[in-house]
Amino acid sequence: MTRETDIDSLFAQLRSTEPCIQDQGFSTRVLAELEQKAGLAFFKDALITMLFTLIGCLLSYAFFPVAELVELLPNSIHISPMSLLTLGGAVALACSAAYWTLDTDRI
Amino acid sequence: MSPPDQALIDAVVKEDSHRAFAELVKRYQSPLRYSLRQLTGWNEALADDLAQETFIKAHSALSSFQGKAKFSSWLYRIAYNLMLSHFRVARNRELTGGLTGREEQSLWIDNGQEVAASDESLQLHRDLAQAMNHLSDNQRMALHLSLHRECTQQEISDIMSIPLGTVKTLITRGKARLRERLEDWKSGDES
Repeated sequence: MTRETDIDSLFAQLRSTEPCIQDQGFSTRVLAELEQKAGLAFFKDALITMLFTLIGCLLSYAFFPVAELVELLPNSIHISPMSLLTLGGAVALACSAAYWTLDTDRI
Repeated sequence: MSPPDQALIDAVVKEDSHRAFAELVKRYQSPLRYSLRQLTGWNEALADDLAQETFIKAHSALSSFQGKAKFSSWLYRIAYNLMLSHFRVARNRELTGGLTGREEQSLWIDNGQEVAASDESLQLHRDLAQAMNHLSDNQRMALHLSLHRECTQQEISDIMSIPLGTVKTLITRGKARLRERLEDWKSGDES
């Protein structure tokens, strides 16, 4: 240790001789850790989504009168040219909206 | 010419650019790792672990960086909180007897053999880091930011989230304590 005990000049000496610490793979380790965490986060998100979807399905099955709803479905459907045209228009509109949303990165 | 910090931060936030983040890490790794070595009694492994954790936390919180302070000050704030949290856990483990003597040594001080084997020009930096280890965590950080990084007292107050008056007290008392420590060292050398 130097004999210099004046704190300010000691720190001035340290500032002027501060070593430049070589990277030596430090940045690579940080980025690798980040990628690993991102992968884990994606896996965790997917797992949570699937789990809650499953719970939702089970709850729906338990609480909704599925059989009664199925019975309410018509046996035959009559589609007129006008309703087909309306349906086509609605699908085209939905597709355009989805494309615009993805293209402008709104999600 | 290298791009400014804000351009790199924008690239990370908006485009999730790993290359831009790697550039930020390369730019700040040396001063941050050096500061953490000074603050951990020159424990290189611990300082590097804390620095790595700092950059990972910074990456996940980068969208909240508003650019009001310097990026380096923001990094020091994260590092300081991580260091405090690490030492708190270490102290609790020590109190509950969960730490073996060897683990404790590796947490607080550097290994003497490593110091002896290292470059002599680093000796002063290592010695001061070990002398600073006798100060409290807050005094050490305030003193390092003030005297080594030449931060203003307002910047230190922002980094450490403490009032300006407390910063002044920490620096004054820290200096006095460090001076005592160095005087002891000096008289030890002379005898």
